[in-house]
Amino acid sequence: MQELINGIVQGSVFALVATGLLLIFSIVRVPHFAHGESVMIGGMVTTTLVTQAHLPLVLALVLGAVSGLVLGLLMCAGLYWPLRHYPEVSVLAASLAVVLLIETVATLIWGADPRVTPTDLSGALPLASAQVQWDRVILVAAALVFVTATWAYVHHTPRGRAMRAMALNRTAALLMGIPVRRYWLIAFAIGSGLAGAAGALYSLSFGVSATMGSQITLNAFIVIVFAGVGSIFGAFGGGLLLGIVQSFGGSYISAGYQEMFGFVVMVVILIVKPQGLFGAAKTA
Amino acid sequence: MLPRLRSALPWVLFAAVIVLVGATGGPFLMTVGMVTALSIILSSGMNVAMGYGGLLNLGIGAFYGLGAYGTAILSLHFQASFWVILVAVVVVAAVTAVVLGLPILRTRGLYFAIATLAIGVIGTDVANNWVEVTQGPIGLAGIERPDLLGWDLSDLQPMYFFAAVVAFLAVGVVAFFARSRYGQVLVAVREDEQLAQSFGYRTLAFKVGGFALSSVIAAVAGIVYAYAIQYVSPTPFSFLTGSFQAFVVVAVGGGGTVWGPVVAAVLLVGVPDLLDFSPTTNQFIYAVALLVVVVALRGGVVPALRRLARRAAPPRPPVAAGTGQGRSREVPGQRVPAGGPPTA
Repeated sequence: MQELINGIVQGSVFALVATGLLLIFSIVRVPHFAHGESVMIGGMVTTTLVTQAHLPLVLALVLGAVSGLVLGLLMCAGLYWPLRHYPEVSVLAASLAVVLLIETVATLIWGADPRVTPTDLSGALPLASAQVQWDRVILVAAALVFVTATWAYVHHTPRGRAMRAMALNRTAALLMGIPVRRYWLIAFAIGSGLAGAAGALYSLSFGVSATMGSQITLNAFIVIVFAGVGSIFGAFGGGLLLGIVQSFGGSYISAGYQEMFGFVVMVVILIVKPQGLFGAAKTA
Repeated sequence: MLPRLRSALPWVLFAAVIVLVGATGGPFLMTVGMVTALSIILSSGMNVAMGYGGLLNLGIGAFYGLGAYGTAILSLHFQASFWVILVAVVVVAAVTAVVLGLPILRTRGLYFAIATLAIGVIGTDVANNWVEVTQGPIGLAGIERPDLLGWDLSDLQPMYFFAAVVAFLAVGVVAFFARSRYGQVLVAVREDEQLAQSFGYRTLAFKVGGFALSSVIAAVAGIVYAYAIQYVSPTPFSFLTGSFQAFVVVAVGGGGTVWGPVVAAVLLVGVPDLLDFSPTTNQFIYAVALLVVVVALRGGVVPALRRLARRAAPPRPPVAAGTGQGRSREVPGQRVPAGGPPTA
C-alpha cells in the first residue's frame, strides 16, 4: 500500500511534467530536452525564496512556477523559433547544449546538493493502512487540478481547438490563418508553467538539485512514449504508471535499478505497441 | 594525379601528427594524445550511426563501457590475452547491438534517440549496481597492459602509439564504410527510407548493420580505454561523459564526414585537455561550441570548411556537403552521399 501511494505521489509529478512536455511536443514538435530545467528552476527558486528571502510559501510557489514558465518562453523565443527550419538533430543538439549550460550555471549558483523547501505542514492523512503526508496530498491534488484545467483549455476553448489543429496538421493550420508563433508561445507558456509548478510542489516533499533536470526530462519522454502522443489524460495515466512501476520495482527488486524499470517497460511497450498504450494514432 | 594527392593528404597529415607527438612529445602531451585518440575512436563509431545512418545513438556509452568492462573483467579474472579479449568484445558487442537494434530500430527519429538513451542509462545502472562483477562505483583497478606479438605496451609511449594506431584504423574503417556499397545504401536510407525500400533494399537490415558497426567501434574504444587508463569505473561511460561527448564531437565536426569527428575531437578534447581546464569550464566549452556550430555553421566544422574551400576555388565542380542529417538545403537536387566525393 505504501509503495502504491509513493508511486502515485512520484507519478503525479511525472504526470504534470509529461503533460506539459506533451503539449509542447505535439504542438511545436521540437525535442524540448530542456523541459526538465523548468522543473529544476521552479523548485530551486521556490526553496531559495522561502529559505533566503523568507517569502510566504504560497507566493514562493507561484513565483517558482512562473520562473519555470519564463525559462520555457525564453527557450521558445530565443532558440526554437529562430531554429524552426533547422533539421531535428540540430535542434536536439542545441537543446542539449542549453541543458548543459543551465545545469552548469545552476550548479555554480546552488551547488550540487539537493534542497527541500521547509513547510509548516505537519501530520498526515491516514489512508487505509498507510500514511500520506499533507504536502504529498497537496501535490497529487494540484497535479489533478492542473492537468484537468489543461485538458479543459485544450478541448473546450477556441484557442485549444486551434492548438489541436496545429498538432494534427501544421501546414493546414498555417493555411487556415492560425498565428503559429503566438501558439508556440502559448504552448510553451502552459507546458513550462506546468513544469515549473511541478518543480515548486516537488520541492515541498523531495529534494531538488541543480542537475535533476535531465533525469526528469527523460522520465517525461518515457511517459510520452508509454502513453503515445495521444491524449492529455493518457499522459497523466502514463505518468502515474511510471511512478508506480518505479516505486514497486524499487522496493521489491532493487532500489539501485529504480530508473531502469521505466525504461524496460518502455522498450516492451515500444515493441508490443509502437504507438504507445493509449495511442490513438496522431491526435491530440 | 592531383585529386589522388588531395585525398591522401589528410591521411598523411594525421599519421605525421601521430608520429610527431609520439616521437617528440613528453608524457603530458602523449597522455593528451591518448585521450584524444580515444575520443576519435568513439566518435568515429558514433559517426557511422549518427552521421551516415541518421540514427541518433545516445546510448553508445553503454557499448564503450561494455568494451572497457569486458577487457577489465577478462584480463583481471581470466588473464585473457589481447586477442581473446578483442574477439570476445567484438562478438558480444555485435550480438548485443543486433538483438537490441532489431526492436529499437523500428522506431524513428526522436523515439529512437530516447530508446537508445534508455540503453545508456541501463548500462550505467548495471555498472553501478552489479557490484559482484563491476565493483560498483569503486570500479576495477590494476588492469595490466598487454604484450602484442612482442610489442610491450606497458610504457606510456608504446601505449600512446597503440591508441593512435587504433584511432587511425577506426577512421580508416569509417572511410572504407562510407565508400562501400553498404555505406552508400545506408546514406540512401537516411535520406529517404521509403525510396530506398522501393528500390528493393531491406532497410531494416542496413540500419541494424550500421548500428552494429557503430557499437562495435565504440566497444573497441572501450578496450583501448581499459588498457590506457588501467582503471574502469561507471562515470566515463555515463550519458554526459560518454554518449553526449561523442554526440557533441560528431555534431561539431560534421556528421557524415570522415574527418569531422577527428577535427572536433582534437578541438574539443585535445585542446581543452592541453590547456588543463576545470571540468566546469570544459562543460561550458562543449555547450557553447555546440550552440555556435549548430546555429552558425549548420552541420559542422568540416562541411563549413568545404563550403569555404568551394567558394575560394570556383572552377572545381560543385560538391554537396552532407549535413549529416536530412537533406542538404543549399544544393537541392544534388544529394551526393554525405561521405562526400572521392576527393573529400
